[in-house]
Amino acid sequence: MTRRFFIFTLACSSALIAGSTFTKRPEVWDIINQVQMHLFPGTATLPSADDVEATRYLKFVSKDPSFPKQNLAFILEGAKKLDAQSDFIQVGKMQREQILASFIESQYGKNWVSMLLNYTLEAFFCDPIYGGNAKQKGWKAYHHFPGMPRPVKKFGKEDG
Amino acid sequence: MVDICIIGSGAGAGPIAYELSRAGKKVVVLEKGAFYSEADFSKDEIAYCRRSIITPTLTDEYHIIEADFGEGWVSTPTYESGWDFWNGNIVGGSSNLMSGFFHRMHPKDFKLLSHFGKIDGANVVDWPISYDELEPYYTKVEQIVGISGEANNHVYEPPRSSKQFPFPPTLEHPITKQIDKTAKKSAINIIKTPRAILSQNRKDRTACYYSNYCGSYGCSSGAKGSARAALLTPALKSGNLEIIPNAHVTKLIEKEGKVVKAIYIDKEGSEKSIEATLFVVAAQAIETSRLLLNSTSKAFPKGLGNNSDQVGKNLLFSAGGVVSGEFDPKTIGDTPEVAGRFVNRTIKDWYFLQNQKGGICEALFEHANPIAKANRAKWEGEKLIWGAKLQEKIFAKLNNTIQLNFEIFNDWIPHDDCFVSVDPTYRDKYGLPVAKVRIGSHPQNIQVASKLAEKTKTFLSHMGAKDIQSAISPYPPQNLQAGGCRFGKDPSKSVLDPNCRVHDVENLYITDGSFMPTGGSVPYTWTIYANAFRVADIIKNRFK
Repeated sequence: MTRRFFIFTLACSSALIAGSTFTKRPEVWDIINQVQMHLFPGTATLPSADDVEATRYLKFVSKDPSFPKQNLAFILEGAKKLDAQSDFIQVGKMQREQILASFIESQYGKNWVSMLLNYTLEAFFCDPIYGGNAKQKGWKAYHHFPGMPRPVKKFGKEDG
Repeated sequence: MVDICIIGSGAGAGPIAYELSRAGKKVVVLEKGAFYSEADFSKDEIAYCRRSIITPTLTDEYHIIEADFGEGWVSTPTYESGWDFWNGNIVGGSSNLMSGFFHRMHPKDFKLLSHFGKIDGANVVDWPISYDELEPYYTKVEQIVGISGEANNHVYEPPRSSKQFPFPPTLEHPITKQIDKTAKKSAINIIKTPRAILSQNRKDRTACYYSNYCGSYGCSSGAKGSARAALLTPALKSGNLEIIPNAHVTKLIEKEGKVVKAIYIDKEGSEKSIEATLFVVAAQAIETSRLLLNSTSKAFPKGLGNNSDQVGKNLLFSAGGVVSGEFDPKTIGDTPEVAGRFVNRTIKDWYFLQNQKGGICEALFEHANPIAKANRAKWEGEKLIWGAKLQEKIFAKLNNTIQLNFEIFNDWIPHDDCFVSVDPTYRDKYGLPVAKVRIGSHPQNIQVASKLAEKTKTFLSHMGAKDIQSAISPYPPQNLQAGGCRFGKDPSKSVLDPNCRVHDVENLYITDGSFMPTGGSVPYTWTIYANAFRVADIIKNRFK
């Protein structure tokens, strides 16, 4: 079996298993980004999740060995579940609010949104060395003064 | 072959390494974690407060916590709960991360059974030594580790052999004026908290620069009296001390009543060993008991020093909790310029209650960590909030309020349902049984803490605080560990003799908080330091 044929077969199988036709589902990180933007839309004076590059931050830190593997798996799985239960990415703000309100009625959904809030807040207030808090927008908007010295290496001492 | 091999490098290890290496003995320290210096530390909330950077990854190395939530004892691995019982696995141990609230124990704390009598369902005993025997070493810690403060005139302050602290108090936040005023009105004799933080430069250590990120962070100036900054760094200059970081000790090998070798796994995963004349274990209470229990031999089939089934028993934490109240930063004079200054106030008036031991209430601001503060704001009771509502709430939390906490410390009563064991079912990445920790809380823990909390709430109310909350819990703070290898005169009821040598093992000492049969109602570090200096003198005499 050639690699191309294998991939094609796999794609067909997944669609069949899911019981759907060839409807293309959104990328999981796009779903996460859209949820983060709904959770932190920004205000006239406070930045949004995109302003602090919250999705880029989460993608980056979740690759580090210090990020709990089970948390990353849960975040990705939860995003797929949310998408499977709704068309979150395709609907407007009001419907997104209803979808999330309904999602957190289960303990699973509540844990998932809570975790996403947690890691998005990290992106607002982390040192920009981690890829979030772009241009210190989080610190500046919330009038926060970072502790000194700031990190010059990510995740402590790299050669520890 | 070296003279002394020390397992661990925190407050129980530092004084031994300092004193013995400077006395000309060859000392090796085996530390599980990495060697961070002042230059490596930063105020990085992600690294030091939100990830396991200086503690093991829980899926690789974990504990089993046995808790009773009302339906019997349930075992949960910490990689499932996220409730991490590791503390600062770096050279200097968790003393790098402490806030440095330093209090001596009171003379009556050494004789709780004699003074207050038996408590039902508890294993309270008197210490085999008195306050007078430890007092010179408390004073030694003030000088060598460096404690700043002001001798307090309080009825419950223990007697001092020196008139004053070697360093003046650190700078104080303006809220202290309001605290002092309220205390005076309430007829409370509030004391200034001694701190293991230098207020002035000293040799190789620089005075505190008031970063506002102290507790949970390593110190970038060396002002904090960690075992690393205050003891191990100067001891290295003797040329007699070798510190081996990333060395996880798996077993002590015993032959004919003596430990002959410590086996460890290095950073590359290779098994190595150190032979020494004398061994000292100071790996923090839970891991110290675990190492002994995992070090079985023909003479000690249940673990080293465990022929009386006492290793791991009577584990102690600190009972208590937190009472908090909120203030408008403007009304208490808070500005970015003074935000890092300390509160340095302790209520000690309730150290002894009627016919019962009480505790202290330690004032401090909520830690500055913005991620932790913002993350707490997402809750409205049990409900999650988000959107502009959450963002504005966070802004208000970070800018319009400042939270003053009173941390309550009262005695964790030793009893049969708080102990360390090992169970071969649960193993770490090295294949070794992990520590299984039963965390039962004696009813008196909560009863006393609640009394102190009520009094503290009244105090905060008199201060004009808003949103006064109290969180008193039967569950232990995982960073305040002691006991498990209590010292005593009777080998059938203790693990260590009064000199902190393991009964029946001629050359093995334990110098972390494990030796404590009762904990007092103050943070343990000063007492651990003092006792380790005492044992260092005993070991020095052995080598004469």
